[in-house]
Amino acid sequence: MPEAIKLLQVSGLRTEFRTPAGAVQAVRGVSFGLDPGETVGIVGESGSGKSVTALTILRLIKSPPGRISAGSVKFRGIDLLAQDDAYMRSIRGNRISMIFQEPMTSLNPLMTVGDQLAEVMQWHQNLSRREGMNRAIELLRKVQIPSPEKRVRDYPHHMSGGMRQRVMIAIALACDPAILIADEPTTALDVTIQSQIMDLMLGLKDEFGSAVLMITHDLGVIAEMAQRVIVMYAGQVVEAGSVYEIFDEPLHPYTQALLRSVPKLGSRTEKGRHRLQEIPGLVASLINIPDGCAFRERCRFAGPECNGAIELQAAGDGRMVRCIKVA
Amino acid sequence: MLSFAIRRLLQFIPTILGITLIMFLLLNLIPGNAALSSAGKLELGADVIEKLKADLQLDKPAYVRYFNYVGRLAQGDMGQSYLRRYDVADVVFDRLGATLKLAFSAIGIAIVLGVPLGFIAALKQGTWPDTLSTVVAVVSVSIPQFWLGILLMYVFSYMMHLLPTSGYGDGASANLVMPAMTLGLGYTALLARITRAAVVEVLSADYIRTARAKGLSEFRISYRHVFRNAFVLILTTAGLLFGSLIGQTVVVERVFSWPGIGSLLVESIFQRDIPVAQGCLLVIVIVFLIVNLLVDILYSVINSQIDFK
Repeated sequence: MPEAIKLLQVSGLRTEFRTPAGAVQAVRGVSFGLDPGETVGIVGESGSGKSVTALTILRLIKSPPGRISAGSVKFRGIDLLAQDDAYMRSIRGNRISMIFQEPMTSLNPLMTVGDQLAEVMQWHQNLSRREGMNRAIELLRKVQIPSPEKRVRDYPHHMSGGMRQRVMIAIALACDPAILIADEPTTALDVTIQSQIMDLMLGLKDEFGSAVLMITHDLGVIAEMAQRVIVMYAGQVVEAGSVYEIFDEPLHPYTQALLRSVPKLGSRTEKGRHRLQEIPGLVASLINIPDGCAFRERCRFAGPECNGAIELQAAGDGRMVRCIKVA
Repeated sequence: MLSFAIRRLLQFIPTILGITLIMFLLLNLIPGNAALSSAGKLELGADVIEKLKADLQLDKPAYVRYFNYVGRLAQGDMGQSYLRRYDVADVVFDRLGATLKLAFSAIGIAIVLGVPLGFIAALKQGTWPDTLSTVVAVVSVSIPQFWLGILLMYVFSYMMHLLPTSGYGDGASANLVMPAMTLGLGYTALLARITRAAVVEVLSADYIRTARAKGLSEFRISYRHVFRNAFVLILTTAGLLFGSLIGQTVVVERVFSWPGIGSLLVESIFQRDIPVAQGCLLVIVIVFLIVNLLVDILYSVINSQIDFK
């Protein structure tokens, strides 16, 4: 059946990296969609391919060694992977922008934050430097940096990690993008700063109306911000659904294990203390991945049937799960 | 910034004092002295030699001579040549001009050629221009200056009759071409390698990824983000390089009979003319210190993160 054109539709995306040890398949056939104004969370452990997915959408994978080998990334129906570099540049930072994990090193140390903010608007919106600076002050105020008129002339080393991440958010929102990709925006920050940044992002998301792709390993962040969740493991989507469904009734054994490994305030068992359960084993190697479920080595339900190819299957009202035991 | 410069200039004093001591000790350890060596040639009698020694104060203990030397130095007197009885300061500063001219030309060549070459190599990392520039750089660094100098003379003077073989030529630029090229080639290669390394490092920085995520063109990223950051790294090494260049003009000056401070230093050591050798070394050290100070100041102008404290 013909579907309405999504804001962003990622289909069958594959990204690999050539290494001396063999091709690392970081993203193995990832598909998902994003609607205007919606927040979708991508969760997974380190090495699950979530950051590479994000970088692939903006074609920021360094090539070589990286290579986008298959799939499509349709932004408003136009496949970004098929466009030339000039088109891609008109999208980056303008229609789709990105916030990175490392606020301490993501800003140019030799440019004032004002110049770095103004730059993106001068580039995409043909503003003069003066107009850019005025807008920069406005944006710094929006990300709640005190006395932005002064701060606009500061260099990054004058600012703390939290402030720098606010500047990064301001840069990302400067051109009023349709999609904001946030790659672990709070991971490198103190816990108190983390919640401030999350609150800020929640507020700005409503104000700017951008759709957000929130990439994180922090389930708390997802619960707070996202409407839908995509769980990734070893470069594949293993489960997708609404945030309530995933948290209330996780289907995939990996999602279940992930949720059990999160501490809950005041949770106790009859015996007294509640022990956190880690997931046994290590994240599967992404070199020469065998067929079948990538999680089976660590899964307590695994059986011989898990060795065959397993597809992502519908599990009622928009939910998807990649597990032969559940579906 | 001014107080920073003044403080640094004051720090020159203990540095220079320390260097005069080391210099004095080492030069006085050289066997033989000017009086004896001139006496040997002229077959002078023992009494004349004794008188010469007394004239040159060579009959006094070394520490007395050292304190005399430093005392005079503090008054701006670098002493007199043992052999020719001229004021060392006059000759040394006269020769310094020729050396600086040579050094600046060489570093100019190195900057004009080396920095763009290194930049291109880094941007084209892993492709044939990169490999080619690596090969050329390694070859250029490895060629000895005396050999290159003679080769250039052979080609441009002997075969093609384009340039004068050697000499200062009263400052004619035709005389400068070959010495500057000979001295500059190795530094061009070094600077190209340094630039490449710096640019490669900057290109992998997170803020370059941010610049790409902003949708900027590669050209704009190069000149607004890569170059300035790489330049901070390049400047540090290039500054040190230039400081050392002053002391390394010796070979080229000898090959091309360039009347610079390097050739004067070598001559004076051969003739055991200690005051002249001391003067040359001292001036080389002072130029080195000044260059480093200028590099530090320039460094902090470019890099906002350095405070003058």
